[in-house]
Amino acid sequence: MDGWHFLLFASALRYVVPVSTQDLGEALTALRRFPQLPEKQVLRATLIHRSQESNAFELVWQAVFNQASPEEEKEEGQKGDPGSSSAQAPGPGGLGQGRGSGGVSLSAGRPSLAKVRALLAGWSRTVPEVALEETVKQLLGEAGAHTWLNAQELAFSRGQTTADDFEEARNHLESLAEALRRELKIRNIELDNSWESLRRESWQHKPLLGLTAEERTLVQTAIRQWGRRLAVRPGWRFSPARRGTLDLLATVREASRNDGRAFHLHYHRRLPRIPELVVLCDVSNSVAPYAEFLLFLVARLRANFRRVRLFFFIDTLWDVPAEIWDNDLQDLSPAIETWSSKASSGFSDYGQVFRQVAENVLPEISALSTLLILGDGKNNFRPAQAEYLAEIEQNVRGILWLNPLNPPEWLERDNALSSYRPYCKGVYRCRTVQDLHLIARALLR
Amino acid sequence: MWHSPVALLEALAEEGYLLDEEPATTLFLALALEKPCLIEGPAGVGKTQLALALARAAGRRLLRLQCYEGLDTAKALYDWDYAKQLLRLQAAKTENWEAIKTDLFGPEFLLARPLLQAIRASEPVLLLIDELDKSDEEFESFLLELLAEFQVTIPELGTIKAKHKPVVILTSNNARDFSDALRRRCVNLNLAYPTLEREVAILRRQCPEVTENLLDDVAEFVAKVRKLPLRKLPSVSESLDFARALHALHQKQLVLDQLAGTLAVLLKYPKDLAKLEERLQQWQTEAARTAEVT
Repeated sequence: MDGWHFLLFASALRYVVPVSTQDLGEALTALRRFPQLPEKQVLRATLIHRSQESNAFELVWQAVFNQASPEEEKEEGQKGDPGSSSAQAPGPGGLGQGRGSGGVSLSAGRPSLAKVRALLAGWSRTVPEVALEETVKQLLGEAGAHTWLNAQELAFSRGQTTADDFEEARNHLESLAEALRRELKIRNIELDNSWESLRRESWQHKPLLGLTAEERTLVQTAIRQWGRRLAVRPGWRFSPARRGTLDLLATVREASRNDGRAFHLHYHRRLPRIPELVVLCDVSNSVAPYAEFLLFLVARLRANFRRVRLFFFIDTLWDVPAEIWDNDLQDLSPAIETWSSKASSGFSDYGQVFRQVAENVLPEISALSTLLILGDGKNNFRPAQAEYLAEIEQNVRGILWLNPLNPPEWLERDNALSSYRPYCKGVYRCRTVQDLHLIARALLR
Repeated sequence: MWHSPVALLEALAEEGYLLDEEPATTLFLALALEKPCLIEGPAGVGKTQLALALARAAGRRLLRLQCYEGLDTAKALYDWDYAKQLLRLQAAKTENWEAIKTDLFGPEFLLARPLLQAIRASEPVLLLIDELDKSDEEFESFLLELLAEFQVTIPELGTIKAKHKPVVILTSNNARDFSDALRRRCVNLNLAYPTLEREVAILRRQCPEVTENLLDDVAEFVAKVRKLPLRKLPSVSESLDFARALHALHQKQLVLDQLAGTLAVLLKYPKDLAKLEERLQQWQTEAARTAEVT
């Protein structure tokens, strides 16, 4: 590796991973001292300090050196390995078998990365972040991957293949999708002629929706740490007292009221503020993945609140019992699914939900409560009924709204957030782990 | 110490520890660059065993610090021998106080804990800081000086620099994440579950009394179990126990419908056991169907 490529790689990697000058010095030392070792491995060992950063490393490596991705290497390896059953196995169910009424042949071959990549020949448009998953799905579809997986599933349900084979097929498709994602990101970099889009690959700036399993663990660990730190840093309030520090504001206020004739010193004392928290969480499909992280955060901060109540909603409200969300939220997803399939249409209706809160919940909660709403504000063109949120605002300490969408999307036609915004003390974007960190601080302020 | 990753691999293999080439290269680079190596991975993949084997292979004395919540410098670095200091005071009532005062906080009254022992050791040592993720963040910050400079500072005595740079191995089960500062000072080695071939080799080496057929079956079975969505996947040490358990039941090969009672050796949570038993039935059905076809 020459100096130019080394610097190019280091500067690109710095968009995603923190790389210090000392790291670079050590990488250079290692490359110089051990020229016989694979350069990629030397750089990975010296520059990557978290296993969760490996994907980003792979992406940058592939973008800079245009070398085979791990998926390609694996595929190549399988081609050369005559004993590899997965590379050469015919489609399940036997060649030429129909699929009943659908008439789709089971003989469709196992989709390879080369086949999928061939679809990208002559690709000349950048794919925005929001459209990435859709594009990957579409390309996989064009390569016949979905049909192939359906055939595998059918064969499995007929007992023609084993559960392990079906699992392997799903994993194969997932690894193809991952390779394709990486390929599209590299095309974006080339077309933009800029590394800037790499920044979104850092787990701290990545949308929570697109985190890998490893990154999810990392985010949860980070949230647990903030929880611990914030738990020992309570908010404060001042209470009037006979002794304590001088309350200058109250003293001056009273003096000015009496034209300075009566002058009484007022004192106050600082007390820890232990507020109540009411969480309203939209669990419709578009918001549910973000809800998981927010609830994880709230659960870690419970010690800072006198009382926490949690409500899920789509178009009706569900008062979630403490025992369901008290633990590590593992049982929450099935519970949400069961509830939403039984009691909801699946389309969010904020107006209806705020009416239910105003009528049924408001009498039960303290005026010192903070109401935290997690939702994208998409009301499916139903009436906003903002008057109910106004009523709620009159009876609580404040309303904070967390929105997983980017701010320009808050103004879209089917989004009712602009009607609700005047009644909120703060509206925050809640899309990345960085956003969550700011929210955690705002909550305890 | 070793001139190449392959030489390191062979030395570890001689000590009974089998490692793949990629992690061996990372470990080799950590040793060559004289940097601490932070080994991460799920419980039971052999992180601590790797450190122990490395100490044996390098012929270094092992100093081990087991981390836990609440671990502080008094347990990890040094403490003053208060009883001895009291005795010294009682024995020297007539002496000059200024002299005693200085003397009381001298090396004679210092109790060296593992970290200080590693720094002051007159021979090369290997310092294993085990399960660092169990310790508090304060302790992690305290380690930074040691990991970067191989020195510690004791207020009463000043800075003590290592005579011989110790090989430092830190292990973590990822119960919590570490700060960037700590990670930057280490070479990160992520140890995953071994491949099927590697696990067979490990089992054969560790359980020579068990038949090869049974060991192959066990490795294959465990690899399948690891693909299930379980809370705690079976580790290498549990594979070993499982193989020994089946051997104790005089089994020559793994038979799916004769596993009743043995699965608890492999999995530790009731929910995981229930999931595996359910999948086991499915595997049995599939095996029966395959047998019918053939």
